[in-house]
Amino acid sequence: MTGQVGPRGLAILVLAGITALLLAILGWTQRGAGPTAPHSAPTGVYLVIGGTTR
Amino acid sequence: MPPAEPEPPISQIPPTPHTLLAPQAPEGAGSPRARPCVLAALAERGAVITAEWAPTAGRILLGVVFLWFGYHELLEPAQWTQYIPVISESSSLAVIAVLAHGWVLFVLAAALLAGVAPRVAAAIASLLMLEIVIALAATGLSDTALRDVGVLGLAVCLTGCKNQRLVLRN
Repeated sequence: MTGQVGPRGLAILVLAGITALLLAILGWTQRGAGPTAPHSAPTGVYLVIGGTTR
Repeated sequence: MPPAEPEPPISQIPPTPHTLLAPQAPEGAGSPRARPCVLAALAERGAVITAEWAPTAGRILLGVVFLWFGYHELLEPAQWTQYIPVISESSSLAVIAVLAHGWVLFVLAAALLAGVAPRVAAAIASLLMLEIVIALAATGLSDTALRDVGVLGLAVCLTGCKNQRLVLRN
């Protein structure tokens, strides 16, 4: 079961590890950026509060 | 007269292709009598191909699943912190745990897809899936937890498969 990985296999694993690390850094820097409200949301709230929608 | 040789047990008789056992139909191969033999031969061939390639297909499909979840856990960790038990989902520790989990998933996916030490990768995938099932079951048995039990079963099966195709050995 524990066969040798070999240089090519090791290269693939290292490449995948580095790619995953870069993605993790990207995910960490963007962790606070949640989904933004659509631009029309304030208008919709205004219309509902103002009672001008019939 | 020499003594007759004892018949070997059934388990020692080599398998014979169905095509050899097929009766010679006088009307030709397209006759209704020959058709079941052709179907049996096709089924036999399909079974051989399936037995040969099914572990590889399962390994690649499991790799695709791990790649998808690993990629999304790495890029959007905040969407996954709710699945971590005990730790508060708004804490930085939960985000770090999701990123570490995603990293392991991503590297495992690469190993499964490329066929790098596939049985070891499947064994680690089994442990990872067991951890996921336990974590999900801790918050109550759900459809997601039961689905992941199936994925765990696939990973356990792949751990025991010795004949894998498309494996990177060196």
